[in-house]
Amino acid sequence: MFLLGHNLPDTKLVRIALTSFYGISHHISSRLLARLQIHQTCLVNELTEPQITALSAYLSSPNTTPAPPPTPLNTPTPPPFSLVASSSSSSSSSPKTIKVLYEAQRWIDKRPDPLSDLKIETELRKELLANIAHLRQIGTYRGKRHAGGFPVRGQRTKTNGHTAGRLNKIDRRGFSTYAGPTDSPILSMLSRSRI
Amino acid sequence: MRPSLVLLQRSTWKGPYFTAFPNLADALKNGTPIYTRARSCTIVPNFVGIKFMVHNGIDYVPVPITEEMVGYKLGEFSVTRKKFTYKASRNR
Repeated sequence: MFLLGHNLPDTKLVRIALTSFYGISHHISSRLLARLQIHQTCLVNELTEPQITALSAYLSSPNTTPAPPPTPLNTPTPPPFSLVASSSSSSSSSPKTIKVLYEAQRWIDKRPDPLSDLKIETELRKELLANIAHLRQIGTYRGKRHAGGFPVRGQRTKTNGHTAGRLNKIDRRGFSTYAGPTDSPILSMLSRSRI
Repeated sequence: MRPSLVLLQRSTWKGPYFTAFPNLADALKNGTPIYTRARSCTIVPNFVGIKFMVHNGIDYVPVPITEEMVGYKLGEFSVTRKKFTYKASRNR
């Protein structure tokens, strides 16, 4: 199945196939499936049409897609401390433990949603290049190492450092391997109509 | 912009590491450069506009501070390594 110019193999798990997008890790992928209520063991060819539409709608503009409202079952309710205090002698868990657990749950709920300000593909690559350009422009050591094709984080250069020589350039290419079916305009048109 | 700086580096209660320069106000007024060896000193917002001469192990490199440099260290702008150049041997 083609989705936004990426070929997702039909027999793969959606969770795995989505990681072919630049900027989608395994974690982000499973969070995204959870948000769209697609189960984790779903294969690509098992996706229904509304699910595909939802996926492509999110991936084409992750920032503007509104988050679904929280499920009512998941909203935290403060533990009834009076009840907890009265029944502490009978139950095994003390009120202190319950309070700690409650605080932990609150902390988990307050964590920022990784899907709310996700950058993928071109946007993420542009950000990467902009960060390096900023380092170069203000004249830091790190910027100079990037421009010179050397390792940036203090690695040795007597031997090794060939990856840095391959990647770090004055104008670093933000696009890694850009050959393949995504190049052809016909296929990108096909993917837009999701055939 | 640099979340790792905040997340992985230093306890927040300590604040950023910086050295106190007694001649800071004077340097801002008269434009006299501050000679320093404190390469690990974080650039704080009231350094902006001052010219530092930061030691690189041999001599002092001029580092005029701009607004974008805030949050980086002084030593990041004073290179300690000599660039490799190939020297052709004369007597062969």
